[in-house]
Amino acid sequence: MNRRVPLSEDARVNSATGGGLLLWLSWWNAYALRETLVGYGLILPSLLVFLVFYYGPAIFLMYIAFFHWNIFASQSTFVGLHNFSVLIHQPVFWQSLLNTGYYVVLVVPVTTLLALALALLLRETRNLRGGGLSQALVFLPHVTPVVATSIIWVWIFDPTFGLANAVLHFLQLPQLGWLSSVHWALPSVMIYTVWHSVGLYTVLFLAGLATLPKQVLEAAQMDGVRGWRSFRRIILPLISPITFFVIVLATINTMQTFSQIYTLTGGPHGGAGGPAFSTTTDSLLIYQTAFLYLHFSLSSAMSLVLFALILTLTLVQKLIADRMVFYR
Amino acid sequence: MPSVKLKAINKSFGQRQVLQHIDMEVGDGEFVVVVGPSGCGKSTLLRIVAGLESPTSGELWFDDRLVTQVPAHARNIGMVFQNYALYPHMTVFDNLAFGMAARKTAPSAIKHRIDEVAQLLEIEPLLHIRPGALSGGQRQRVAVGRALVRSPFAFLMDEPLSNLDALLRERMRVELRRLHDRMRIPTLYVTHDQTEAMTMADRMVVMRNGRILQLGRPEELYHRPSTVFVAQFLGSPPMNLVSVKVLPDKGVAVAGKDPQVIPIPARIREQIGGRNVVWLGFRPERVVPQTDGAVEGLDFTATVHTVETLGARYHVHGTWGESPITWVTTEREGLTGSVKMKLTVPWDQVHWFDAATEERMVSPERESIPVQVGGTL
Amino acid sequence: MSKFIAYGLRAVVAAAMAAPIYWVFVIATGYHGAAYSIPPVWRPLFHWAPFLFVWTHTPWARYVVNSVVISASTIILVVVTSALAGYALAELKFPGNSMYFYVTLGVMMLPQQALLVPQYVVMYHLHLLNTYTGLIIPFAASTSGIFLFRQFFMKLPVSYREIARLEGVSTLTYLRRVAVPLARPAVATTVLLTFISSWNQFQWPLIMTVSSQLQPIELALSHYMQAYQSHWRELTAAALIALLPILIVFALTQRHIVSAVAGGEVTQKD
Repeated sequence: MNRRVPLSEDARVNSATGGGLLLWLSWWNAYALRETLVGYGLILPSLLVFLVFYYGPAIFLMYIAFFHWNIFASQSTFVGLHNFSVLIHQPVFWQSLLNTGYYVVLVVPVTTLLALALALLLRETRNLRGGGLSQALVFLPHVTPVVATSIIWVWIFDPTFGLANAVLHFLQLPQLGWLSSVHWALPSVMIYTVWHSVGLYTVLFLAGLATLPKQVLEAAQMDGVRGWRSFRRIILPLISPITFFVIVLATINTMQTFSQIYTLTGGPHGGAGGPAFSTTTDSLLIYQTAFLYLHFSLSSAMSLVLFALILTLTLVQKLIADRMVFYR
Repeated sequence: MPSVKLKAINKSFGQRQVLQHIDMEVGDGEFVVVVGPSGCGKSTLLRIVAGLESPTSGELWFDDRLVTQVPAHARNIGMVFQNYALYPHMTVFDNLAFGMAARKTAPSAIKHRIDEVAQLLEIEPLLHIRPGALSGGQRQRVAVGRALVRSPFAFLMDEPLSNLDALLRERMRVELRRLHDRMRIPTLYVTHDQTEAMTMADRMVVMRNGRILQLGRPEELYHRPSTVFVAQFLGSPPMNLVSVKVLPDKGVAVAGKDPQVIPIPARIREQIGGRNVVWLGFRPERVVPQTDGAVEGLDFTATVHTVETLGARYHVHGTWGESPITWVTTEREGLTGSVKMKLTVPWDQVHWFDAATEERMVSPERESIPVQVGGTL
Repeated sequence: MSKFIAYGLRAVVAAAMAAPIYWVFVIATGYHGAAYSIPPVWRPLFHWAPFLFVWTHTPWARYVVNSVVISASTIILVVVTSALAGYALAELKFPGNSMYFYVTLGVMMLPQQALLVPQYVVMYHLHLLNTYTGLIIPFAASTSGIFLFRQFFMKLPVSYREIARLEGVSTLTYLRRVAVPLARPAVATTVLLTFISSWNQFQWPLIMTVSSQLQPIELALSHYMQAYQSHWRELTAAALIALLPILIVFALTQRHIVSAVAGGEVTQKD
């Protein structure tokens, strides 16, 4: 094959293996290259969507928050922290942070505990008739469209004819103003949110409970560990990873609640954001600032604050979890 | 003359070398079985021939065509996988047609070819059902059929019988071999089962740790294993191996409290040379009771421990000195625990291995090995 | 005894969760003043006339079609992009494979509310404001869809793909004829979850659309709510239009949806 006169024994060996190596490189590399190109081709569609509509805007957000900027005039001047200083002089901004805090601090624990209780209830009774139906009904609100179900909840919360006050009346409790009351508007939204989302977390807890090692539970039962003690000492540590997941997810979701606040306390009920801004949370304020008052820069500054808040909260939760969560 | 040649194939995954200098050939119409324990590199070898892996160095020839750099689909290989890899959502017909349709073969030609193959394999009634409804043996046949429809240059089979139960495996062994005898397509067959290898192969290759230990006809490997590993890997129950001390002039002695000294023929003594310790091996089925001076051989006394009944024969487990040994007999009489028996192995059935290299030292004095009729080399 | 208490408690909880949805039916199909009755009405009369009146006096058909078009397009795109990326992540070796896994995961970590403004600006510059495309494309790829398909493709035997390779079958043909048909549960789950999220879309259409011609049902409903405040029978009848498709789909596939949301673990018997 090799017609040239070899210079030495080594050279001949080299040229033979070298030639083989080259041929090998050409084919296998061509195959690997093809696989690489096909791989890039396949991820391209989703990558484009992620870059253009998510990562791009996330980076762009950092930019607009530090500029005085108008979408329609396409003028932009660097203003540094100006937007943020405007922000902290707005009472409604602080009000929205307070409302958000109030809302999250109540909704997250209540939803988590309720979901855990429901999951335990559904699990304990899963072999009784109608177990599947009950689980479906608990989960059902989560898949319903928010505006459509808000309509009926506005009626439920109607001070005169609503179901809520009818129930209070039946229980001989004082009637409330619900959505039209400064004190009760946000709690009303909380009730709706718990109703709408608890099914999701219940199902997540159920999934966690289903993975519990049967032997451990049986061993505990044989040792006479039952009821509350069994729950406190065995089940709770074993499902702590899913509990952590539920708390993080619930926090991220509730911090960003928008649709039900907009529909339940919008328009007719004391203007969007409830009576006296009582339901104006950060996401509502971000929306109003940008799309009602067209202060894009200010809204971006708020968005960045929200972004940082969610990030910080998640990290703090992660740090706490690292000390408390028992990973199997 | 279709043949597959591997020349100096090496393969490494990172630092780990899984194949070392593999030289072998599958000749025209030959059925070659590669056998070895798991992790010996046999599957990698098969995948390199298929083009699913590339060798780190070396050459692969199909006839006089160098195919080392030819992509898998252009090699015209028919492959049967261990799990058959039949697509569960397609009918048998669609499974067989899938590759040809992808190559834009005319539907009429596809139909014609599949009918031909289905007839050959007797799977015509199965063509329009899905693999899920087939038995293990039927699936196996369909997998072979799919490899066959493209009229492959060579067949590659990766443990095709190991998903079947014992009885079916035995039947499919015969069936596959008969199919091969009709088609005469060069076949490279990989298995970890030595019985499969022995019964099916024209020639077999024993591999271990990425190297070929021995290559040859099954009888050759069985009767002249080149290493301790091959000797023990082939045959069931495996060959007895006893470590013996070499005495200055007389013969050899088995380790133990009361060492039995066995005189050995001068010819063997010569080949042992200056070694102090050697391995002595003999197959359980070559052990016969001593009949005074009738057979020239390795005479020794063994103690019986347990007897396994297999119907036609018995496997006797016992000790010779301190070494556990096994032998096969058809006579049950007198076989009870701790009985001592005088046994002998004809000298030409005794294998000698170097204790350090574990390689064969002395060839038994044999004129020839029984040659399979019709076997090709 | 405690079993009966648990059973009763469960019945009460399930009924309470379903009650608001039940009252949508009660009021929408009840007599005219049902919503203003004290004590509240609790029995549906199934009068469908008011429902038909609402349906014919506002172009709900248009809004439903909008929602259907948006949902259907989103579903198709999500299934395609998820199957492609999921396959690449599961089966193909290329530099950046594991990095793309985290890129996909990262999208879930971005707070949607904080991105509204920059997203709006991007849509403005792409001239996608007030278009169907603008309501669809941003949701054409989904993290959970990609992970779901990846999970499924990883479970397929390697030999399936290798047989295809030996036969010279192209990646796309293999995907179309073998991998995706075998991943039918992943397809079903992705279709269901995408349908629910896209049918229930509200905030994005709210900021994206000006023209009522493009409004999906939820947005139209919100406008209707402001126009017809306290007309409970009309409002609940309209709500029913948005609700019914979800209820029907849920009734038919609830087991599948629940286990999909829970990561496929709930329906498994232990």
